[in-house]
Amino acid sequence: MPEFLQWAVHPFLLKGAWIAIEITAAAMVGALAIGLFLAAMRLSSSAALRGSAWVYIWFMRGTPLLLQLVFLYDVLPMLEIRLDNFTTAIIGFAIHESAFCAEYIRGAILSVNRNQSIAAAAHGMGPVLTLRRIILPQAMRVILPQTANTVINMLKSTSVASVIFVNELSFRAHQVAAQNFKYFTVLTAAGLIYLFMTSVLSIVQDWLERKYNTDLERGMGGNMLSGFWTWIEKRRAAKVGAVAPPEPETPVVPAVIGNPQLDPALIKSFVGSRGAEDDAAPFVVCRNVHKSYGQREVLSGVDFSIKRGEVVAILGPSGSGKSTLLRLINHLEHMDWGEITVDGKHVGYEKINNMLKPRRNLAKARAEARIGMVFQSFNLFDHLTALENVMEAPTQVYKEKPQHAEEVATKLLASIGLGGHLHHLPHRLSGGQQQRVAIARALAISPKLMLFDEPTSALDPELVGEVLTVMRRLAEAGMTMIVVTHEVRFARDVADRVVFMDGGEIVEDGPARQVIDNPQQERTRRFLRQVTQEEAEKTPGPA
Amino acid sequence: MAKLSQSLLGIAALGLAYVASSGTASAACDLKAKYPEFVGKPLKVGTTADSPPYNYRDAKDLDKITGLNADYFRAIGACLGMPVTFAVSDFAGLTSGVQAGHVDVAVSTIQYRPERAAAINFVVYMKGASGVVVRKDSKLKVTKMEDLCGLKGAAAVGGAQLASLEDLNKKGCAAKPIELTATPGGPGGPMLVQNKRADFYLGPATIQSFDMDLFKITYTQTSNLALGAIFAKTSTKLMEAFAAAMKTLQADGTEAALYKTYLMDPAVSLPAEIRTK
Repeated sequence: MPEFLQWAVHPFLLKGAWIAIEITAAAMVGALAIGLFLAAMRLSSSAALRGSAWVYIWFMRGTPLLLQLVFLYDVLPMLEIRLDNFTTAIIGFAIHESAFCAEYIRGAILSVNRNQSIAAAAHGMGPVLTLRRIILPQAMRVILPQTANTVINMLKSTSVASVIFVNELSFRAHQVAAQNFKYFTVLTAAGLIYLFMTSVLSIVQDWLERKYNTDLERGMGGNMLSGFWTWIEKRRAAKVGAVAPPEPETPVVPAVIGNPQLDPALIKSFVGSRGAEDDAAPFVVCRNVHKSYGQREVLSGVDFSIKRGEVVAILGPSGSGKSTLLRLINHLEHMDWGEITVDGKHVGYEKINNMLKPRRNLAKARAEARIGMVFQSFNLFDHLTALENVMEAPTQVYKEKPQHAEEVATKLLASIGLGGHLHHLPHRLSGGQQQRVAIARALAISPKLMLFDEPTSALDPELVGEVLTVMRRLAEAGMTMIVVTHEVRFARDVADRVVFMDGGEIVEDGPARQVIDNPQQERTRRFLRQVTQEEAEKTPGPA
Repeated sequence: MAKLSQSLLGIAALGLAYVASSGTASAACDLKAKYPEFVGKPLKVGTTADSPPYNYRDAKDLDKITGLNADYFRAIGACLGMPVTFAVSDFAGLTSGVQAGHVDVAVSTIQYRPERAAAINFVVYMKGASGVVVRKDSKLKVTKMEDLCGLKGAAAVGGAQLASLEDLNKKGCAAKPIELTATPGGPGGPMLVQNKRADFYLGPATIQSFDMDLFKITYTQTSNLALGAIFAKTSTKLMEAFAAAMKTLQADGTEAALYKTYLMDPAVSLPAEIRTK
């Protein structure tokens, strides 16, 4: 065996490599934990938290690791804090790298579409749950390569710890060379050991990236090592006698044209599962609701109410405050003034000295209110399949048993014509299919009230019909619904009432056919003329 | 000077084998009764372990620290009834390691300087003997240190040799200074010479410090710079015991035997002396 290979397996150097691995592994766990915490602080609404995190990062990034290690090891004993060299190395590397981790984790979190958090909040998920289940899994694509870089750099730079009597691989190689003068031989051996260790890390990185890559359908490859992983999976499957996963379908699943076959009984089971209290009493009540963004007043004293089982369509030009009103009803945003109750309760507010104050545990309040929401841009959780999207809130927020939640979700998706797409990620579905999944996701929490925020505005005309069909079935089943829409025909045919908003106030409110066919206000007439003209220019969907 | 050089080269010519002693205990040195407070307590020694023949790793057991200093300190430990353990760091970590109390004493051809003694205490026991190390095929002829003026030189950071070259640049080579590179110790300096990045390396004047197939020592000098072990300012009692043991070992011939074992010229020995400023 060549001499450099003999040194590459020499216990003295391998022990140094193991020390480097131990320090790196422990320090990286600490660095990522602290980094995540710091990133959250940097994104906090509290100026004190943001400032504290900034100062920490500024200091740790701005001073050399060597200095920090010496400080921990040699200065702290003056304060009667005496850490051993190994512990010092772990702590030193952890706190130093945490500053870098914090910044790239923060960047990764910011890179995730904000609508993902909004959708999670609308389904009763709290900030921590949202971070853990929704944001971080999607941010992993950005975090993983950076983390791999950091781990590999740290592994190779643990020799800095020689200043505090830690004898890892590089330092040991240097000392052996000082003793036997075989500088190149010994360093080549050390280099080989490093290459082996970093190769293992690269393979782990590749595996993790593959795991968190939402561009890949589950079970698909897609990069340099994909063949290797597929081979591993096939071998494993062969060993346990399992059937190999089916080959992935074509990249984009064709949209279902036509009306999905809905199971009215199933839909009814969701709609009717909540208490059937006094149907005559107002179910949603908005009183003198005000909301401003800075100097711009978006809602200026909105008053309206809807009854249980009623379908209300809110029409109005862009910027009239329709979507804001929906977000205030399920408390996705705080209102400035006024009062909103759903089923007789404030959503996330408590009265203190006759004033409404937001509750601390807003997520719990949203969950208790059971208000389903469907967004214009679908806002499906991009890293979860259609089935997982529908199961997410029931299992994570309402703590339903996964098996039960899966059965329900499967039935729901099948009932809206998506039984063949259970395991497809959102980006492999058409817009209409995504929106139907979003409706199923909202239905899965057994909502008392469904809010639709322009659910068809982002769809191609030929896909509008399939979504409206589902909504029509919901209305027929007795679901209480508030629908912000530009679909005048749908509003006329399906809604019990139409509310027309403009300039942050309700301009006209009445039975759907009356408001649409015989509007009393000029602003309503002007808007309807404009919308009707635009609809005529488009290819009409089968609403 | 010439005598020292001849002596070293003569020893090399004899082809004496490299010797790694496991330690030379002295029967005569027993200060346990005089310093009972240290008996049984460990003596933690910080060292660099990259400077043969002073302190380096044993080729047969790389976990073991050997060399003149290592064996010398083991003998001192035996004299005081203190089991000796070694902790290895790079040169920069030694001083702070002593000051913070992670080790009791540190050694690695550390040069005494008054400004250093303001922060740490010394027990000096050796003069800095330096050799001008050049490539085997070098035509460089050095008869005095000033012959190095204008050349590219290297020496280990923190060591006596670098200080002497810096001193030379201020005086004898002021008009044509040596282009100096401070290396981190170990084989870094000789490698600079081997790679022709430096014309010479000023290192310990002992053949065991270098690979004689590649290098030669073309000139040696014994400086008046004193080398010693360093202690924290707070551990005066241990330092006194250490110095007392060292004096005993110098007197009973143990030190001389160690010099012989490690092929070093005993002329570089200094009477052990505490220096606190």
